[in-house]
Amino acid sequence: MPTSHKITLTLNGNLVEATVASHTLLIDFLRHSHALHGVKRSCDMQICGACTVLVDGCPVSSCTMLAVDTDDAAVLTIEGLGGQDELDPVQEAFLEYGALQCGFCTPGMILAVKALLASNPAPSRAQIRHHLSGNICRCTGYQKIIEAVESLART
Amino acid sequence: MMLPKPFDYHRPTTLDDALSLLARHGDDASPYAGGTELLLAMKMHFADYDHFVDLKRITALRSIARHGDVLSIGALATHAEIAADGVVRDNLPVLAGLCASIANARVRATGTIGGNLCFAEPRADPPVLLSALDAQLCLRSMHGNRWVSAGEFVTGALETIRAPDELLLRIDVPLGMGKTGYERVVHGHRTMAGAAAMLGRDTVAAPRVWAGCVAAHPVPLVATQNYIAANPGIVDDNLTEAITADVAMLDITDDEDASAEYRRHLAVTVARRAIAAALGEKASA
Repeated sequence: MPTSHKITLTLNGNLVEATVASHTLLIDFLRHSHALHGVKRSCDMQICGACTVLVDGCPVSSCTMLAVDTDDAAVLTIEGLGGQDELDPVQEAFLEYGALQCGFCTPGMILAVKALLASNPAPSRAQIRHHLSGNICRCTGYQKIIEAVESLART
Repeated sequence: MMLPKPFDYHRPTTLDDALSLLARHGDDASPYAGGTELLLAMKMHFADYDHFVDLKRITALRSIARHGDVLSIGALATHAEIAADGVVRDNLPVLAGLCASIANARVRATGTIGGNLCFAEPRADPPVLLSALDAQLCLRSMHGNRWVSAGEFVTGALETIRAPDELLLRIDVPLGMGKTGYERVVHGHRTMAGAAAMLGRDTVAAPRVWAGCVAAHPVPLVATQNYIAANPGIVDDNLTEAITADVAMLDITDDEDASAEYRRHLAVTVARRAIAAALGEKASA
C-alpha cells in the first residue's frame, strides 16, 4: 500500500514541513506544492537539465528524484538565488553576456554553474564545457553561456 | 509527462533492516539508491515495484578505502564521489577518469556504482571496466555473504545473478595487477561501444580484454587475450585480426542508434585503443 511521509527540508532558505506521497517526484512537489515554476519540465529523462535544482549543493534532475529524498536536505531552485533587489553574480553574468535567448534552459544552466563554481572556482573552458554538456539549450546559444561562466572563473 | 505508479517507500538506517525488508517483500521490492535508472524505468512503466527500500541512509555502504592491494568501494559511492576520491585517483585513475565522464553532472552526483552494476543496463561502462579489472563483488542476504566476480555478475540485459533478497555491499578491485586502459565511443550521452584492457605485469596476471556496451552484457575477448599473452606489447595487424574474430562472435543486433555492422566496427576500434592505452601508446586510427 502506498504510504505518505512527513519531510522537513530547507527550501530556498526557508524551513518547510510537508507530507508527500512515496512516489511524488521532486519536480512536482516544487512546481505544484510550492509554485516554483522556474523548475522546468522537459525531457523527463535526466538528459536536458531544464529541471536542475541543487540538493545539498549537488545538481540533480528533479524529474528523476523523489520528494521524500529531500527530507533533512537543503534544496535550492532559481527562485532562491539572489535577494529581493539584487541578482546572484551568475545571473548578472548571464545578463551581461546575453547568455540566454528563450530562457527555458536558463534556470537549470545557472544552477549547474552555481554547482560547478562551488566545487571549482576557477574552471577552464574545457571543464566548463564538460560540466555543462548535460544542460541542453535548443536556441544553441552555448558560446555566450560559456563566456559568461568564464567571466566568473577566479583567476 | 511520465509518472511512476504509486509504491511504498522504506528508509532503513541499518543493513540488517534493509535485508529484512528485502527478504519480506521479495520480487515486489527494489533496492533504491540514486534512482537514475530505477526511477526512469518506473516512470516509463518498464519496471513496477510495490516497495522501494532506500539505502541512502546506510552510510557504511558509501566508504572508499584501500586495504593492502585491494581498493574497496562501497556500493553506494556515487560516480562523482569516486571521480573525486584521492585514493581512487592515486590507485586506479582509469576508474576515476571513467566515473568523471559518465552521463552528465546530475547523474554523476546521484547515480551509484552499485546501482549501475545491479541495474545492468547494456550500455553501462563500469561493468565492462570492472570485469577487466577482475573486481570481486560482495553480496549479502540474511543468510550471509557471497563473493562473485564482476565478469560473472551481469548475465543479460537488465539481468544479474543478484537474488531479490540480496544487496551488493561493495566492490573490491585488486590493485597492481597490470596496466589498464578504458576506451569508448559516445553518441549523445550513450556509449556505442566500450572496451577495457588490463595487461599483466610480466607473467603475474594473464591479459584481460573485455568488450561491452555492444551486446547484452560485457564479454571477454578470448582470442585477443591469447594473442597478447603470446605477443606481449605488440599492437599490429594480427592483434586487430584477433579482436575482429572475437567481435564477430558477439551477439550484436541493429538498434535505434546504429547498425550491427557499425557497432562491430566501433567495438574493434575501441578494443584496439584500450589495449594501446594500457601499453601507453597512441592507437593508430
